[in-house]
Amino acid sequence: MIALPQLLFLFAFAAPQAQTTQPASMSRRVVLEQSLSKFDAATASKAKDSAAAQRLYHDALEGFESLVNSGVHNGRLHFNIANTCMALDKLGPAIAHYRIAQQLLPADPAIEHNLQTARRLVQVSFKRPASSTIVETLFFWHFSTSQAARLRVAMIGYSIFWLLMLAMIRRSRRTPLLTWTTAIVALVASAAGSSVAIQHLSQRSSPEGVVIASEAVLRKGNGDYYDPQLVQPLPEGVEFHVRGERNDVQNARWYQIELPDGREGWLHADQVMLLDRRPV
Amino acid sequence: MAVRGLSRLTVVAFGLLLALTPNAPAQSIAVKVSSKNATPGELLKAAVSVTNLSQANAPAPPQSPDFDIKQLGVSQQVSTQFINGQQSTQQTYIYTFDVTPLHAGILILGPFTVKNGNEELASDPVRIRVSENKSSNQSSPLLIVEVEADPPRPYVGQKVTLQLNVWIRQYNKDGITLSAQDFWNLQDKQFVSLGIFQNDNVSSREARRADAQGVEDDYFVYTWEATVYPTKPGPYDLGNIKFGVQYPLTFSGRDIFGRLSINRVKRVAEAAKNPDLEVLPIPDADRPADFNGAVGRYVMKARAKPTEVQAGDPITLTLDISGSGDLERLSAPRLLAVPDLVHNFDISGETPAGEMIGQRKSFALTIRPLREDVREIPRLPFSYFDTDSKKFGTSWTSPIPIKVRPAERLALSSTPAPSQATGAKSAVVETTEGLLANFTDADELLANQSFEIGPSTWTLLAACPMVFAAVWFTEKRKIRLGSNSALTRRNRAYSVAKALLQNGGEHQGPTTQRAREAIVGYIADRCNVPAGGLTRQDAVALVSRRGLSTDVISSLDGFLEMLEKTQYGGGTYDGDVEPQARKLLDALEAHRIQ
Repeated sequence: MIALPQLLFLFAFAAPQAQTTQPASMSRRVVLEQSLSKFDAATASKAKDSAAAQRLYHDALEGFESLVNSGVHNGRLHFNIANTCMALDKLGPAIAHYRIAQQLLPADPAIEHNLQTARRLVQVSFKRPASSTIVETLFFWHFSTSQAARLRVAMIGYSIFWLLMLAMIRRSRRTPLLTWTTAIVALVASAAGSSVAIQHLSQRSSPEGVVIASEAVLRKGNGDYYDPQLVQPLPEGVEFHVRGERNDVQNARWYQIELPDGREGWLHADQVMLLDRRPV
Repeated sequence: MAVRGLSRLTVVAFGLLLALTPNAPAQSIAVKVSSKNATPGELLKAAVSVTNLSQANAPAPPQSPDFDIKQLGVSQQVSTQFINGQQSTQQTYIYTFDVTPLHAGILILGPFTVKNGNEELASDPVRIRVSENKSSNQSSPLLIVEVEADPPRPYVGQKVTLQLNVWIRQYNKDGITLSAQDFWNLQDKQFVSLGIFQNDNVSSREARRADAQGVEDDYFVYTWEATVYPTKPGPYDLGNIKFGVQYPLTFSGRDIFGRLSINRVKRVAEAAKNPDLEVLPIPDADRPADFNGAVGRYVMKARAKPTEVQAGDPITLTLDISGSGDLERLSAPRLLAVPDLVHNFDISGETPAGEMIGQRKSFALTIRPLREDVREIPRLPFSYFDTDSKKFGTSWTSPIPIKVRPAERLALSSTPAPSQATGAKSAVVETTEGLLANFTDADELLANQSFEIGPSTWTLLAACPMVFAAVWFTEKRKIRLGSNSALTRRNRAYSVAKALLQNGGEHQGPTTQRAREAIVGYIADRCNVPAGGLTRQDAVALVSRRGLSTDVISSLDGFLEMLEKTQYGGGTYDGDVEPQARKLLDALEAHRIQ
């Protein structure tokens, strides 16, 4: 029993770490450095819109994306991809990658800054419902920390909780301090764990996406033969939640989406990019 | 007292002149002057009669340095005569001129000329004696025109009050007194030019004034006021301001209504003596960055609506300015020179015109908070140049707390143009536009941050409660055992009996006795009965009641009987006692009697 607390602590700290793999093979490192160099060379070029600069940007984007396709799921890498998309005037993919980067590193100010800069370029704006603001204020820790960090907190709290429960068993008399500490730790652990679970389930049940086509007509149904839902098409960069998906008569995939202001409609799958699927 | 104007005098004079005019030739030009004796500046009337011209040409006045001649108007007369049955018609145009002798002496007026086809007709010259008015012993000027400025040395933008004073010497002679209104009616419009004092706000008063010799005289003072705000430093030009009056010299008597008729007047005109108005520049030293040219003393207050917005949404910021300066011309505060405001808000680029509301001027402009962490509209300065203290002053508004919620989208650029913020000399303003650079650390970039709940997490989730349950069970059991003596005896019965058989423990007796005590003690412990007085029959009965097989019971009974015989009867035991006892214990233990 003496070694049990140490064991549990080690286990708790090791558990989230175990999710982060460190392949860092030499080939990935080389691809990364080449992509960074090409990006810098293109950015340093005075004529950023020149064909040569655009080619360098494309090469850099290809290199970054190959790293993602090889299994590297990293917020900073998605940030670099988004920056490259911005340089290539791909506003929609840029916002999508900034969002993915933010999901992985929610508190990173650079990601937040560039995401806001990209959002300003979107041609339309939506007014958010007041309730979402209240929820974000109350559960700021849910929205400002990554899932991995919250899972780590949950697991540490979970371990400490059981240790304290053991301590309570071994003590003949329960002190209020021990009882309250156990309760608080249990609350923290359950809150963090619930937050992780809710987000995980939410992302699976209602993934988010971004319009990547320059103009996407939001329709009343899953097909081009349905009437437009809005007077004007949605511009590139508009964010939404996916509420459902269905094929049209030609077996093309359509997503039923909900805009930030609550309006719904259908978009062709080729015109959007979902955040959870990370197509690159 | 009412004075009949010169128009009546003119009509009378014309009538007289015409009556005295002899029968004109077919075409003629003649001049009649209202008086051939005059004083310098006296206004004379000249009637130029042009008769029977084939063309209606106006006569040209003579070019003379001795006279100031100005044409007034023209009238027409037509007369028809019948002489000896013949009708003749004469058409005469009478042109009237103001003739003012400019100095004393015998002056010759004329000739007036007029063209009639190719022919030029000329009038006869008129000889006029011009002499100083010796009847008047007054040396005071008849008319004084002067402008006063307050302050005489204003700053650019400072309010300057100008006052035009026209002094006309009162007429009080031969029992005739003219009022201020009489003189007002006698002003000579031809010489009146009021410039910036062109308004109806004129007042009059009586005052005494001394001339150069110190002799005082009574005057009527007519006063106009005007306000100017100099826009550039240097001498201020008020323009050509002058005033003229036809000052009466003699009166012809009274009409049937008792009103005085002026006979002779003197034309007096004066240009204003302008003050030496020197406009000073606003000093450059200690000039605040937000100074926008306001001169005077001001107080600025700020209002904002709404105070709860999303980032990027507009807030109407109203700035109310009141004070002693020229509010009408006041420019909007230079908010782009306020770093705290520029850093946190997008400020509308349009300069608000401002609106006068009572005694204050309000500027309304739109600002947009750039981020949700903006908590207040900072205090805003409005700097002005106080001409009293000759120093710059600043009025500060109070900070306005606001609540900014995060925005889902920002449709507008929130970046102030860098050039707009250059007014602040030392302000460092952060731009919010543009992208931050890539991450470059390879280790950070290649670390996999994907979220997955792996086997170790599941293991930990399962292991913790399992470990807890095991410990809990152990502890509970320990506690249970510690508090139940019967259970403790029962659980320890076998081990105690075996120990007694094996090494005797504290028992020092013979083997048969130890074996008996081990067997009986085991049964007593298992059945939780006192071991001290337990006989063979008691032990067998206890075992029998617990349902053991008859073989075991008979073995027990036989073994105990044999031990008793050996121990108390002096008999001997054929076999080895200890293995037999252990075998019997094992048989009893196998049945777990309780």
